[in-house]
Amino acid sequence: MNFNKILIGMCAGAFAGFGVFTIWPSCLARWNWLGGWLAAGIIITSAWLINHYVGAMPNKGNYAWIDMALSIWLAALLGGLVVLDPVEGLQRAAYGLLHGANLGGALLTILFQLIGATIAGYFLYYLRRNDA
Amino acid sequence: MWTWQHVLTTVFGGLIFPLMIGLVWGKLAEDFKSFGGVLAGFFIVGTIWLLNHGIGLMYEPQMAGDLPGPWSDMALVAFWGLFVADLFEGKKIDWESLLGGVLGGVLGGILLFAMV
Repeated sequence: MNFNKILIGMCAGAFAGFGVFTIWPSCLARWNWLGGWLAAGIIITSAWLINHYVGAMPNKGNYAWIDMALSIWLAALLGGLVVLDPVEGLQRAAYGLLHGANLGGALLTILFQLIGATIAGYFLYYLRRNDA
Repeated sequence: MWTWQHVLTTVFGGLIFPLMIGLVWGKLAEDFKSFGGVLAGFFIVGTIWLLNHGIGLMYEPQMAGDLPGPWSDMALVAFWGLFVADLFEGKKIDWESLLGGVLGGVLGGILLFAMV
């Protein structure tokens, strides 16, 4: 266990999670679809540069890849969404588990997301195996 | 209410995102280094966000009503797709980075919780 690496991964992961769910809803509220599309390039890229290009998320070569997306998903699930509305200012767009939101409402979404992602994971495995 | 259409679109939304990342992102980063990540951010994440949460392939009925949430972002499929692809390949779980990622999510969640 390397605690410094875990700590750095935690801070960089929190940057990704917090950044995505403040900047993204705010860009969406201000510039609609274009804002959402631009927000992806702005915040995801910044977080990716720190987490995976420089390597703050401590991934090692021969182990299964842990993406910063884990932090991002968990941050929204726990803390909800915050939006800077052009008219009404900074306000909450969604509640998270920390507010006492009911996980049951999201369970089916999570289940079907995982099914889709598992199929995609198998495709990726299959393609890599056949390319190599 | 969930219908079969919602099931189908949610599963497809969950399929397309990690597939695109796994196929394209690494090559962009290989060819263009850090600028490849910029391109990938816009053209993979941005475009698929328009599909999944813009048009709404991923059905999130819990977001209706007075107390919306919790939000299950498409980030989950990015993590899980790439993770199980490596597990299928027989790679082991690196608990150190898994712990870092989970703690990052918890800290980010606390910040979001405390903000407004």
